[in-house]
Amino acid sequence: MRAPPEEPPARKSVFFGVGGLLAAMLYLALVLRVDSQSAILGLLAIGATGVFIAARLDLISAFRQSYRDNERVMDVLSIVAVLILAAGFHNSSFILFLLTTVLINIIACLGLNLQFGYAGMLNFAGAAMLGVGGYTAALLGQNAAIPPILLLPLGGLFAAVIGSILLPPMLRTQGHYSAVVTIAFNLLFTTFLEVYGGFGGTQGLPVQSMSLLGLDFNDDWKINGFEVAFYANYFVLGLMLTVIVAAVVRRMERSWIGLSLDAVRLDETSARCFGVNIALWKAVAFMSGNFIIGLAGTFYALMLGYIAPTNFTFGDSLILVTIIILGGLGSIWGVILTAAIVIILPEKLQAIQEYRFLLYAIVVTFVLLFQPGGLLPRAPRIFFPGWRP
Amino acid sequence: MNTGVQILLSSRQATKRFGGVIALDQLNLDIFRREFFGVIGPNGSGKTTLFNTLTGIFPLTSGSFVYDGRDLTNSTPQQVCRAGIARTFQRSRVCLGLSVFDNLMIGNHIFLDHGVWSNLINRKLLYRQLEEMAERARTLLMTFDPKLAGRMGELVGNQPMIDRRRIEICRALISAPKLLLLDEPSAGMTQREMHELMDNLVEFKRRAGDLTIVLIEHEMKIIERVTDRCAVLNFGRKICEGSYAQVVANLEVQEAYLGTNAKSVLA
Repeated sequence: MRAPPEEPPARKSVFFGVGGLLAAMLYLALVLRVDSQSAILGLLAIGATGVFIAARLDLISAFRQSYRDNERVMDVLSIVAVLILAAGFHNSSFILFLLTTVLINIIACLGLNLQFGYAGMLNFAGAAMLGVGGYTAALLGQNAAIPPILLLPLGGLFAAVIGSILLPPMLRTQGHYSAVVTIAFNLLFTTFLEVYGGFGGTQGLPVQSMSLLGLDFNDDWKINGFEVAFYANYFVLGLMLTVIVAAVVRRMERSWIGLSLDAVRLDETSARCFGVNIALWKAVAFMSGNFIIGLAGTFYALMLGYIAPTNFTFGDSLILVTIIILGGLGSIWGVILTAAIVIILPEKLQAIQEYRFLLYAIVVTFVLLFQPGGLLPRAPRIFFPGWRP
Repeated sequence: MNTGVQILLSSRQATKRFGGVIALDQLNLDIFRREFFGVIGPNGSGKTTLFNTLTGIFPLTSGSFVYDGRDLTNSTPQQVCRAGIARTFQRSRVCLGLSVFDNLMIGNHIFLDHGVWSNLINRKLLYRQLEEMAERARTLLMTFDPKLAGRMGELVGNQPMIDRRRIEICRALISAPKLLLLDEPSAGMTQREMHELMDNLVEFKRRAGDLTIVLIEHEMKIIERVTDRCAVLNFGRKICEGSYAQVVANLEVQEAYLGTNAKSVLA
């Protein structure tokens, strides 16, 4: 609905934003807390009904509008809410590990979104790029006296550089053909690691733990009798990385850079006629996307403490692509929502663990059929909050 | 030239073959600076191929294009754009999922600052350029439709056909080109809408001063109304060139359009 022009520029209500955030966090806390399979199933049914009713009552659009109108406030509140949620699970290694895994997937998918969501370059080598980051952490971490925090940008850099091998064939092909190049790369990547003995082969490699300013991230800690599992360290750093990456990606989208990437995706021929250098912008999207994915992979390896080729298979790439398609191409909040669903659900609902690929295939098909924009479709570009041309 | 008019663009023996099909056949054409030039011809006569080879989408098989004193043969679309040539497409190629403003800014690409500093870090600079560009876009849209200028934040997909055409033309005009190539802008519009659009365009051209327009068009009424001179293509060859009156009087043109017994029909 279009707002009447005489509407005063009053502060828009945060009510729906805060309400939606609280509901989502409570629901997530319940899902994480409950263990019995029947209770999980019940929660899922309640969640689905709740979302359906909210959609019917137009609450979801009110929620999104409220987020958009009060962006800074809602950004901060969301971060605080996630921190409070994690604090509630301070002594549960498994839950903190799971939440951090979600964050890592969010970061990787934000990188993938730059490539596919904005520039339209479908990349099925996401897991390989995670792997490049992971192996950078393992190999550089064991050999040299590099501080672990520096491994993060180095892992990203290696992924960007190694990924750029794919650029010449990808620039010569389009659409599906270009995607096939990336599939081949991911298969070659895992096969190479398995066959080549130098990097641990199928056994994999140990990775040193993260440490910063003398604090080893793999130490549990205690404050006033409060037991905190060491994964909390990784969670906090992961959240910081997620916020930084999301802010950068959002600024890219809300700038001439994002507009150029959109132009490349939507119509290469007309973009070229307006002076857009297609190769340059594809390289920008692909390399910066791979940098972000590589960064996520490095962090993942530092947290896991051990990596093997099986962590970075083509199937893992499919999960990443599933997340961004389900969330809505180019939608940052969409990635955050679906990464949480896609990562947490199979862990809590053991029954679907085996069949998750089948399930994702069905869900993706249905979403593409009935809601092609994804669960939270990307909103039209606003260069600055509140700015209108 | 002794007449004092300056040639902006000339094609010399321009030829384009697609396999066995000769889409452009040794085309010689001179377009003068600041004129409104029409290109007409039956379907498949090579009009769009002329635009596509000129703007670097396909290379010429042989021959050359000289624009503003320099050789433009087989340049990339990017070089053509930077030389000051903008175009629209026969089948509308606006981005429906983007706002009107975003679409115009794609046309303005070469004048935007894409640096990391202004776009990601010191966004005050981006804001300043954004305001400046929004003002430019608004002024341009005002010439064509003041109401459209108020809807710059809306998606193009929600605009009616006539506005999409206006947007596409404005997207080509916003970079202040020296040469504008319009590929059948009347497709899918009523005659009244089309006349309105063309009047706006003529008015814009008059105010812009140094603007040359080449228009591909089927609608003879429009050619008569707006062009200074026109050329008729048939099977990739130029069969006639001159003012509208000269062209319609030409027997070969009448045959190309209406068949051999055309004279009686036109009379």
